[in-house]
Amino acid sequence: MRILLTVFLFASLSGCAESTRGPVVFFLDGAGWYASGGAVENGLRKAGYKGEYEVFTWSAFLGPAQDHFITAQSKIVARRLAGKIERVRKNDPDGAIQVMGLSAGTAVILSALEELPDGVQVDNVVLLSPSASAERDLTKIMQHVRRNLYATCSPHDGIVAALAVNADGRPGPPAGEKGLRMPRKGDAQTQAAYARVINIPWQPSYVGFNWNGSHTGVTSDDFIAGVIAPRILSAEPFPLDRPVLERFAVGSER
Amino acid sequence: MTRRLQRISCLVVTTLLAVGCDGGKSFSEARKAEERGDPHVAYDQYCKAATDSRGGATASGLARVRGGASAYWESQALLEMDAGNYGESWRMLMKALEIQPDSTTTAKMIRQLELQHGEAIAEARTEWMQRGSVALASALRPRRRATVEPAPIPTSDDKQSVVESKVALAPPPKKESGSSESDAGATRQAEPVVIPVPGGKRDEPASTAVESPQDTAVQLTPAPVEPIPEEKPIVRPTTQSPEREARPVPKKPSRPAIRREPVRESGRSEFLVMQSLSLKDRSLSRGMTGMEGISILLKDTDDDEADFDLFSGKERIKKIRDLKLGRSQVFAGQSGTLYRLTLLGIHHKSRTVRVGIRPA
Repeated sequence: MRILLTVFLFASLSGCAESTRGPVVFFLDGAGWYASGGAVENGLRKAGYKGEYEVFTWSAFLGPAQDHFITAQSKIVARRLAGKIERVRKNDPDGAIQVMGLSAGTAVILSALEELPDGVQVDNVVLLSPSASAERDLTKIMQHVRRNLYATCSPHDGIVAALAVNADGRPGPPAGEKGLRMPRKGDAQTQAAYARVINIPWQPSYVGFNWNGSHTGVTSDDFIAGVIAPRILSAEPFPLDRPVLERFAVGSER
Repeated sequence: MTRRLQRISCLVVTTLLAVGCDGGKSFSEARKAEERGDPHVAYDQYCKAATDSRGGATASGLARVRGGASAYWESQALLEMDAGNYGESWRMLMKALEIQPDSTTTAKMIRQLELQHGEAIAEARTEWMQRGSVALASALRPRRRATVEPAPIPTSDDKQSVVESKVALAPPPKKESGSSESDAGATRQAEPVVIPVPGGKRDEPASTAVESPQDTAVQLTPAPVEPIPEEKPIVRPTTQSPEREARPVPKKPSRPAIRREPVRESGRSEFLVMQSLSLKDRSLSRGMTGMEGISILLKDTDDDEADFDLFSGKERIKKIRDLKLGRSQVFAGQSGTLYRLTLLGIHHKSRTVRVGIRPA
């Protein structure tokens, strides 16, 4: 009887936690950095977002090095996030799911997307100052993204510039430095995937949105409200979006 | 050794000063442009300054002028659109959106342009993809203002009929300090872009309103005005005999050249009243009775701006100084209803202006 009661209680609690319908935003903070969630939420609310907002805690709370080198690459953490996304999607097949992350949190997002079962998709992915590899092949990941994947990058980001190892453990420069890159030998599927991958490089005008190019400054609520939210909260394509594929095709980015 | 050290220090200081001066110069240029009401120039200068100094002053400067700069490029884009230059219009709208990415109306306009004139903008789009946004921003130049029909103002030389100024839609003044324009259905205000009248000088476009220190009213861009179809010239048959024509015509007293605005088919009203006022032309009145007993008196004119006084009865209730061509001032009627006085045209040589009033 007690066991039954406990099971029922757990089932109810977990059911309650994932029974949300409507838009959901998951945010993953950076390694050893637990302070950006509020600013990002403020930015989204400022832009008119009224849905659920959840900070997904993935840190081991053993410091930034532990998070960056070990926890961010943990399959267990990635599966936990993937499971959460899957449950939300199951509850609301049409609801918008946005996944946003900062720095090493972006590596967890990419791994979680890879872990998602076929047919389960999020709407948009936003990688803020990603410390994952710029050369990571996103072909499979983009199968789980309905719309676009955005990645910010900045030449003034001293943290990603100083990284010796990427948060996802893969080779290549960090995406937060010069943006994501399409694999040179991309087939049609890869090209289709990268047609929805968009870099948002820092530009001087972003100083007006309180992002001075720094690693964590990208989570400023003004920047989120003014630059990121218009891209992910509207169902329409955003005119300023320039996919990596197109830029690659014209040879201007690489 | 000491001399060498001195030389190195001197070099370092000079380099630092040069670097500092570059950013500082852009910043001071930006401030100057902001003060004189050129937000688009100020914005570009602040952006230049932001490459060197990404600090608070530059950030707040950018946030302040962003709305005005975006509005400026939108109005330029609309002029280009009117002239059928869709590629250029697209570029300018993209620039406006780049400045104010959360402007849903700009994004909509771009999408609409892409949908309707895909071929015309294809080249501009390819170029944009290749060059990148920063190159685009610096490559743009403001449009010339000669695409719209001139708006003759009745002067002593030309007293036939009052031909309306042709106006083009322009964007509303956007909220300053980073505020976002997120209402998709927000009413689009417009700025009448009036082409210089003979003798008038108007090279610089209307820019963000700056509140005159002596006024409490805020300058605003006017509400939407649809282009008014050109009127056919009134040709009156000459039935008078030559003798009668030769007779000296008695001088008529000053009369107000009032024109009631046609109401468009959509039923949306435009100017409630439009009138020409003059300080020199004696056939035109110097003042007019505006709405709800508020009279407007022309005080002074300049090449591209004019001064007015507003009276309620005999009491002066407001001074309007340096009202720029195409700009507006809001005033309240006796019932408290707000009206917008717009300066539609100036002919400084004859000290004549044309104004319009409509509900604010």
